[in-house]
Amino acid sequence: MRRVTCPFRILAGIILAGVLFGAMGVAAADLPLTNASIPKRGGTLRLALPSDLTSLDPALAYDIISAPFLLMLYQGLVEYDDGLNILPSLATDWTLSADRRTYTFHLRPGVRFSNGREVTASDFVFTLQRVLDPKTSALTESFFEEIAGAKDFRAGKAPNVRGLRAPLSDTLVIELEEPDLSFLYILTLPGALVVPREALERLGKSFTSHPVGTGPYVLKQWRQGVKMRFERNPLSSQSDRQYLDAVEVLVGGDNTLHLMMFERGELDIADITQNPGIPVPDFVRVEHTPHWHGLIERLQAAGTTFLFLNTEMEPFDNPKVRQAISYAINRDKIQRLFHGMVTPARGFLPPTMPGFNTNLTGYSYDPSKARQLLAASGQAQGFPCKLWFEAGNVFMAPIASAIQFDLAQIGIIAQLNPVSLAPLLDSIQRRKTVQCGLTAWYQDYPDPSDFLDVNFNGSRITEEGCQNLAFYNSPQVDTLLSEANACKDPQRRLHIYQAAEQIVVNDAPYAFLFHQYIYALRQPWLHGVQLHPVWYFRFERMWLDHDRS
Amino acid sequence: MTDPKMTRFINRLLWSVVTLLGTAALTFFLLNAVPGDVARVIAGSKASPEVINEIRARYHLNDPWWTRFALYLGQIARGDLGHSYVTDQPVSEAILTRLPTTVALSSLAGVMWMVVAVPLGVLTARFRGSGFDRSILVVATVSLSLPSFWLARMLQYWLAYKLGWFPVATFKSFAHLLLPAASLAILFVGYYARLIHTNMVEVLDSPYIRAARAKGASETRVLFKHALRNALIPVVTILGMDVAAMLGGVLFVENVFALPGIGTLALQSVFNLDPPMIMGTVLFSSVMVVGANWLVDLTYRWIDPRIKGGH
Repeated sequence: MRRVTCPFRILAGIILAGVLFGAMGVAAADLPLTNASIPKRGGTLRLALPSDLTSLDPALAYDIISAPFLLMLYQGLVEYDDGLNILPSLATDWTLSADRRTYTFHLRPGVRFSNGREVTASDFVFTLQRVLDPKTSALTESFFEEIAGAKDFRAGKAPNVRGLRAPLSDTLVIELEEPDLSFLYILTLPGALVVPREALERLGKSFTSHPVGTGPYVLKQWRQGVKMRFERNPLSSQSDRQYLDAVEVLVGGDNTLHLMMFERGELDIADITQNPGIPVPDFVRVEHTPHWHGLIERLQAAGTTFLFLNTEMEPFDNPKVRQAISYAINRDKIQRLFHGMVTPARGFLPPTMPGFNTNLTGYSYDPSKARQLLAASGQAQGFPCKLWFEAGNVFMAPIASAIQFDLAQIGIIAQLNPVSLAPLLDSIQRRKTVQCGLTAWYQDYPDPSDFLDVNFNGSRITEEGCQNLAFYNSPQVDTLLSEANACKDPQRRLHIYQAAEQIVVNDAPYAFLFHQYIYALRQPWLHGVQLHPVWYFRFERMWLDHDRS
Repeated sequence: MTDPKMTRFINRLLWSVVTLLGTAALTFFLLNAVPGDVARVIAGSKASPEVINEIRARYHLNDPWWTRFALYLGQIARGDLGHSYVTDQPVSEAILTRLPTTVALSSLAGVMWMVVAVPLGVLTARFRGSGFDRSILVVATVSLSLPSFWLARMLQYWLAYKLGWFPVATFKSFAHLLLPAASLAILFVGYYARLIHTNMVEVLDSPYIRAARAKGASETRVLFKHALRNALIPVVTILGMDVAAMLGGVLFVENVFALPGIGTLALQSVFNLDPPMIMGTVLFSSVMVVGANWLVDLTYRWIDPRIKGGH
């Protein structure tokens, strides 16, 4: 969901999260049933989070812990199916204008907020305008700036966002400044989940703990730092998808503790992803315990962990030095280090991402070639450098040590520099400040632009707060990225992104390391657990059946 | 002429206020010395610079430190500890919500350690030099050496996870408090048993104890009525100082057992880099320690009437 310097730091409770999508018109019987065949209603799902959610206001929460809970409470115009296809949710259908700038959505009739009022198109206008309002400080605001008039509205030059209109109560028009093939994905983000104006005005800041949405569940209780309880929304239009009576979330404890509670039967589902919290030996023990066979769910996360090399700072301004580093790193060793919980990366796009290139030429482990490249760059004797990563991140620390060892083999003396999150973010996103560091990038939505455009577009380089951590600037790549943005043909667009990615890989501003898997362990009585490529968990598809344990 | 008792009271009160202000200032400046942009942590790494600036403005993060310190002191003077930057929850509300758990845990631990330490201290003094005394000395020394987080994890692992005798974690019933309280109590039992032992040995050699025995008082009466009361005077003094140590132990134990108390709140706020919550929990803990010292003073006067007279 966001750059996580500790990959899955944000996943720190991920597994304990679920997503409620209301795929309209999809009956319970049509749902994919992964762990048993006949869903059963009733029961309370018990899970645990290491820490509290930051907010349940969709404008103010944007992390992988909160998002699934938001999606239990709220709905947007569109949603994902089991995979990455976009389905209508509160919209029945939509049309796109000939110039591909204007979307017209028709809303489902009769959908009500949990306060009883019917949803209208003006609620969406209010919701999106609120996200763009500087007073809101919405965390997903930047994704919606492409709506026509958004920038003027934010600058105070216009009272309303020109590109948001509700000509009829069931018709919403969204006009963009420029065509954007990924805009429907953007509408799946939490910021686009519809909220009622009157509830926000009445509740003010406490809306976050008294949310009002259209989702299949409502928040019944939230004792901050203690527990949350979600119960069925009696006004939900998705009554056929509310298998669970309630979802109870305990707050506190780390993932190791949650695993202990799970094994004692105190929880129904547990996060056994190594990062952030499960020690490798615990993971291996669980994986080799016959009792848990068939109860471990696995999903390749849409993210990539990498070592960024600042192309504006010596000696990483030399492509040969950067390539040498990519050759020097033994990715198979890292994979072994994590007992196969990661898979080596050849490029930036993860395997689950549209446009993933199976023919991409990456870097094999070749220390002698690395030494040759260093010699050719005039750095035959090697050099010292400082390797930044997040302090206290049990996942990054062993990777940093492994890389330190590999680099030492070719004469590069990397001094490990663990730094806490705030100064780390501050420094690595500031120009000409950090030579190299370890971090990861996870998708906001399944489109290559969310990886390549954000991380490698030279025109996006800023003095601070820059997402292009290598400050990589290639006119050739910029041209391809612009071409992809303007391309009408989805298939050709993916090919352009693949070409851009290959150039990036050749230039090696990042040494791509691996893609991570996430894991969940379920009790035999919990069914319907299917990890989703974007939101990971979808609690509305789970059910409890102690007779089918 | 001023009443010396009143002067002492006012003096004490002033020092308590100075202590609390000093704690507030120290915490504020230490947090300000931490490098990094809190707004960026709140907003996440993908937020636009505009959003970051809006957050900075909302929390006065662009203001100079003296302005923010003045704002902070003004808030404290009004009894307002501010709102969490992360969850927007009022800090005082967060603390009060978690207070009952911490009080329940600490009280149970206190009862456990006194119920065990006092008889052990008295009996080992009565039978000093015996095998019983020596074995308790060994046990006490071992218990003194155990770090609370390790002991808590071990008890949890063996007694809850492996044997299933107790719930593993969280706080739903009294049973959920037994292991955490025992983890805290064990740390203090050894120390207090030895402290009481030493004081009792001294007291039991006193002439007034010999006199009590000569008068025909029963041994139980001699030990627990005559000797223990005097032996407890230094214990009460140490007890006041140990409230701070206890709060440190609570921080670890609550986190190990995922108990929703002040300790978990404090640690979470540190991990979240949530300055108002960090400052609030530290200040609240200081109030607890200062309050405990006042209480000890009062108890001390009750146990030792000589102090009442200013002797």
